[in-house]
Amino acid sequence: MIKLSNQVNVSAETMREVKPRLFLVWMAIFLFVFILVFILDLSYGSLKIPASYIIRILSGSQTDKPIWHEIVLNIRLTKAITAVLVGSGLAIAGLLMQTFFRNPLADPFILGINSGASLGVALAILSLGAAGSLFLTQINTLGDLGVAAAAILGAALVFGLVLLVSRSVKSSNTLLILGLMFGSATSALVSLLIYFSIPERIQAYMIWTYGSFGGVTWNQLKVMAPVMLVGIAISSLLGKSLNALLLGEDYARSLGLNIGRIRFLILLGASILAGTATAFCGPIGFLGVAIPHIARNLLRTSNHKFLLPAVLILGATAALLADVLTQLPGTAFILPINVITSLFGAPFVLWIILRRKAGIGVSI
Amino acid sequence: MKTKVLTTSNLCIGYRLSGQKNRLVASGLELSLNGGELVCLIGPNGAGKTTLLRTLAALQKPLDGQVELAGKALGQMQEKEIAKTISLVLTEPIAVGQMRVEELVGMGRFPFTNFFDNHKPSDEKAVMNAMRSADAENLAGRYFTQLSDGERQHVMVARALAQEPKLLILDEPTAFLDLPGRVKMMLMLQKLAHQEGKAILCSTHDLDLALQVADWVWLMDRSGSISQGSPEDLVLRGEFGKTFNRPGVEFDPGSGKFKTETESHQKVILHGSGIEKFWTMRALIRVGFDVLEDGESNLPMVETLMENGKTSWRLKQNEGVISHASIYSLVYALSEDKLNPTSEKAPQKGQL
Repeated sequence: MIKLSNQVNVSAETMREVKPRLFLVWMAIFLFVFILVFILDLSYGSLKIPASYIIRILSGSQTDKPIWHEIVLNIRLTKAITAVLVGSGLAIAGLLMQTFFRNPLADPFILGINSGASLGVALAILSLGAAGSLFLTQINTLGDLGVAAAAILGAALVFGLVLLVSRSVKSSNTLLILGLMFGSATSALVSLLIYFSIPERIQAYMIWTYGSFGGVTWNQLKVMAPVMLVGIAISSLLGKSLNALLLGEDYARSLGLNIGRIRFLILLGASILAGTATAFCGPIGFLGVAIPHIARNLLRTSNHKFLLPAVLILGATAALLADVLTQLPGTAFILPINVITSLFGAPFVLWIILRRKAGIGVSI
Repeated sequence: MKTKVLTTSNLCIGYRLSGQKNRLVASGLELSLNGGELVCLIGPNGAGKTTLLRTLAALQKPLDGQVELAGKALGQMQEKEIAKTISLVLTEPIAVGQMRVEELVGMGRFPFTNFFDNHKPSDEKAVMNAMRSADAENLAGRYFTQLSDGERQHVMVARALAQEPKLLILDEPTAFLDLPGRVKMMLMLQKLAHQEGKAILCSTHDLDLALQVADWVWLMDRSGSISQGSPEDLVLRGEFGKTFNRPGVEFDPGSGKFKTETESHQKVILHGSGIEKFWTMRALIRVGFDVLEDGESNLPMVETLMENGKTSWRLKQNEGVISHASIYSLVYALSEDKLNPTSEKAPQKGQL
C-alpha cells in the first residue's frame, strides 16, 4: 500500500484515469483464454476435431471432412454460442443484482425469475394429464420450444409482479424479501406438481433443472440471441449509475441519479438475461454469483466501468469451460452443466477469494 | 454581502405514514443558509436533526412549506440540478468494496460527466482541488476500505466537494472520530466556509467545538422548534440551558461546557498561576469543591509551586502543611479529609 500511495502523482496535468493495475493486461489475458476455450469447446467432444480444422471450418473454407462441418456448424457452434450468451448474460445479471441489493450473495435469480420459469416449465411438463405422455415423446422435437415458451411466460409473470411491487416499495431490501417469497411460493407449487406427477415426467422435469446448452437449435438461437444481446446492452450501459449505487441510495440520489428509472432498468436488464437464459437452458446456477467475485478479486476493483467488460468475457469463458468439462473423455456421456459449474467452480472461487493474505474477501 | 443559498418558509418536516396520518417532526421552520458561513445544527438525540438535513437535501419531501435553493423551489428542480448545488456527507459508513480514494472522490463528478463517466481535464482539476481542500490528497491512491475512520471522513468530504456544491450538508461528520480528528474536521469545515465561500450546514453533538467554530447555530429542541443565532448570543440568551439541561447535567454559561452537579460544596482556596493553576482548579471542581481566590483562614488552602522545573502542590489545612507531588495525591488528601475530617494524613501516592 505504501508503494501505491507513493506512486500517486498529485499534479493536475499528469493525472490520468484511475485504472485498476494492469487492467488492459488482464483484459488481454481474459480475451486470449476466451478464444482458446471457444476453440477447445468446438474441437472437444465424443468426436475430437483438431483445432486447425475448427479454424478452417469457421473461416468458411472447405476441408476433406464434410461431416465435421456438419458437427461443428450445426451442433457444436450453436452450443458454444449459447454458452457464451448465457454465461456472460448470467454473470452480468449477477453483478447487477449484487450491486443493486448491496449483497455479495445475490445472484441473477434472487428476484425469483427462475422460480417463475421453473413453474412455467413444471406446469408444461408435469401437469399435462393424458396428453403428457405424447408431450414427452415430442420433447426432443418441437417440445423444447414449448418448454422455452412456458419458462418465458413464468419468468415474465414473476418479473411483472416484482416490477409492480417495486413501484410502491422504497427499500431494495424489501424487494429482496419479496423476491424470496415469490421464489418460495413458486417452488412450493412446483413441489406440489412433482408430488402428484408420474416418474417419467418428473425425470423430464429434473433433466430440465440440470441445465443444458445443447438443446438450443439455430432456429431457437435466432430468438434467444437478440433478446440476450438486448439484455446485455441495457446492462452494459448502467456502469456509471451502478457505481453511484455502490455508495448507497441516498448518496446516489444526492449525485443526481434518478433512482426510480435506474431501478427499473436494472430489474429489466437482469430479468431479461436471467429469464431468457433459464427459458432456453434451464436454471444454470453458480456462474451468476461467482463470476463477479472472480472479476473483482482479479482486477481488485469495484468500479463497474472495468467490471462489466471483465464479467462479460469471464462469464462466457466459464460457461464454455463448463461445457467442455461436461463431456466425459472418451465417451459420448454428457454430465449436467449445473453439476460441473458447482463442482469445479466452487473450489476455484474459494481459492480466488482466500488467496490474498490480508484479502478483502467478499465484497460488492 | 452574503448570498443566501437556501431559505425555507413555513417548512414542516416529518414522515408520511400510511393513510392520512403524518408524523410531524418540526413545523413552521424559517431558516436560511448563507454562502461563506458555517452553520452548526445542534440538538439532543431524537430532536429531528437528520430529518431536517434530509429534507433540505431533497432526500425526503417536506410535509408542508417550501425549501428554496438559490431562488428556485427545491421540489421543482431536477435531480441533476440539485446535485450541482448541494452535496452530502451522511452518517452511515459506506461499503464500496474495492475502490481507490481517487475513484471515490471522482464519483462526485457524476452530475457533470457524460453518459460514460469520462472525466475531462476540468473534472480532474475539480477532483484534485477537492482532495486538497479536504486534506485527503495524500490518500489518493489508497483503497478506501483500508483507511481509518478519520481518513475516510476526509475522503467523504472530498467526494462531496468534488461536486462543487454551493451548499455542503454534513450529518454528524465527527461522530466516529477521535478528539484531534474532530477538531481537525471542524476547523476544516470552517476554512471551507470562510475561504472558499461555501455554505456549510453540519449537525454535531460536539457542543464545545461547535461553539468555537460555528458562525451561526441552529439549536433544535425535543419539540422540534429551532432557536438560532451566533453561538455567543445563544449562550447569553440561555438557550443552551433550556435545550439541554437535565437533572444532574447543566450548561455552564461561564465556561461554555456542561458540568455535572455534585452535591457537596465545600470551599477551598487556590493560589498559583499558569496552566498548573487552571488544571488544579479543574480537578478540585471535579471532585466537588467550590474554588475561591481568597477566604477565611480556616479553609483548606492549596498553592501550586514551581521548583527546578517541577510542580508541586502545597496543601495547608488543620494547621498542617503537606506537599504533594501530583494532583491525584492532592485531591486524594482533600477528599479523605472531606469524608473524614479527623484523619491525620492521606497516604502519599506516587507520582501519577
